[in-house]
Amino acid sequence: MMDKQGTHNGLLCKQAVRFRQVKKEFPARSGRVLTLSDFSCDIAEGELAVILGPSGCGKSTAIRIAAGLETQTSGTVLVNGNPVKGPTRDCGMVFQAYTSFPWLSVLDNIAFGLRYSTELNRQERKAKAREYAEMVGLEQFMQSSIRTLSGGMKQRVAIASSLATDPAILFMDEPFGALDSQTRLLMQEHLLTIVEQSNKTVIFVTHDIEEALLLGDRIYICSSRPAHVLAEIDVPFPHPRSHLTRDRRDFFEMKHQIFHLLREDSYARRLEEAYERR
Amino acid sequence: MSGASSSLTTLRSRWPVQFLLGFLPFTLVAVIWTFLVHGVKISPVFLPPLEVMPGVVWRMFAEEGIARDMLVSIYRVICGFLLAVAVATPLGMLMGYSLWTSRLFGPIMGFIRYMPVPVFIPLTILWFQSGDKQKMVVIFLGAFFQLVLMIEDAARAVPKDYYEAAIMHGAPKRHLLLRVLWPAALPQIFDSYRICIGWAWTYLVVAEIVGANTGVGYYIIKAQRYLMIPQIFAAMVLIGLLGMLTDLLFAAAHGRLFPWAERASTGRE
Repeated sequence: MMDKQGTHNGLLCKQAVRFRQVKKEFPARSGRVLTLSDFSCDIAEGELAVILGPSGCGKSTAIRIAAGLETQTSGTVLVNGNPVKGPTRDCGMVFQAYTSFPWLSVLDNIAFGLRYSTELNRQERKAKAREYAEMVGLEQFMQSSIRTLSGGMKQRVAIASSLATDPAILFMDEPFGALDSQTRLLMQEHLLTIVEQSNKTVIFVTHDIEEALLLGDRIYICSSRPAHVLAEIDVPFPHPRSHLTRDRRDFFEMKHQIFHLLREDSYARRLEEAYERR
Repeated sequence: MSGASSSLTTLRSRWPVQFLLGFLPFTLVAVIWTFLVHGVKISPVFLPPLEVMPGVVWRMFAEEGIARDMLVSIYRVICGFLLAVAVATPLGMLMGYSLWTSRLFGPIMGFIRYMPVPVFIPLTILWFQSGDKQKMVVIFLGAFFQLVLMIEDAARAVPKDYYEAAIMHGAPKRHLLLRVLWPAALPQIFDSYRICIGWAWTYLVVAEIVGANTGVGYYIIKAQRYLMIPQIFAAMVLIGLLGMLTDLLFAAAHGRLFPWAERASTGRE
């Protein structure tokens, strides 16, 4: 993992996603809501980047723009060096909810995207989907209906179906936000083992500091709305990581450091608002 | 899986109780009816005594050929309704999917929907004569405009997260209608069929009462002419039974076809 860090700081490292002074406004009943303002960061190829920020700060909007689901008001977003024009097959996305189609079985859900990303026939698609079902530990549930699965299993289906199409970049929008804490930890460890074996760029959005530290190679800390990057942190913990990583002394220290950074920002923001109201 | 099967067994064990519960209001109506006839002594011209009904129904089938009339009516309802379904489903889905189509067709649909269907009956007789075709057109007019708006609602209720998930899996836009909207909205679309076919029966009977020489509605108007009051009631009951049967079939089919769909009613269990 050290060489991953090394290449990141080196000159040869390629940028998978670049945000340059991105601004995003949404129309609202009372004028406009500014969601992103001067949002800039570079995410290197092959790293697991976490975008960490308070709930509702606009961090999801940033990756939705990069995935081509939204368009920015101004600024540039480059994916693999090209401006984003819409969704492409290079990118996959795992959402927080409604990620699987309840009318399809687990296997058909995982195979859904293969029809578009590959030339495989029906049988080959099924075979490939089976591989990914095994990878996320759902081999016993391949014919099950999505409705009968637990929340964690549903997210495993979503992860498997996003990975099956083999995107170079995987966006994850608070994928474990709706899970209970035990399941979340299991899923985090599971995601780590999957990602450590692949060379994918993963961009993971969360508001959970511990999750960010456990998963991320690099953390981009966002301010409250409108979001911009407050700080960029290299996470030094070696891979493979597990729940034990959370017991490290430097884990605690970094957690507090980030916590205070976010708290200062929210205090400053509240003072600003109070001042404006006067 | 285990959850689904256990709720099925509890439903099955409670089945006789549910059946008896549903039967109770029928009994109550029969008791009040009998009281009015024999207690209050209301004339049999207004309310025929219940005990004559089995004989009346027997004669309707054996001598008056009500079965043929019923088959004719069922045929008309099915054809007229299928026609409405065939046109309303793609149009409603398109309107639910694209705001542009909805803005184009929405106003005129809402406008015609409020026109009273019986008014179309004399017109359709003028256009198509009073045969099967005219009855089907009346049913079509009655069901189509309601269906379109209900299907539009069903299509609009599909969470946009499904489209985004499909797009992120590489699905091109033109696939979203058939690969996402259709399967996602189908359970609710099916429910709107179930509601609408009830209205189709009403429109058919009205059309048959106004101008026809076959069908259950025609039978009722004939019975009225000859003051065969018990037959009027019996024919109404038969239509009620047909409706109930249709409803049961739809409900059973819904459970079979869309086991994954979460129904609003399950929350009350």
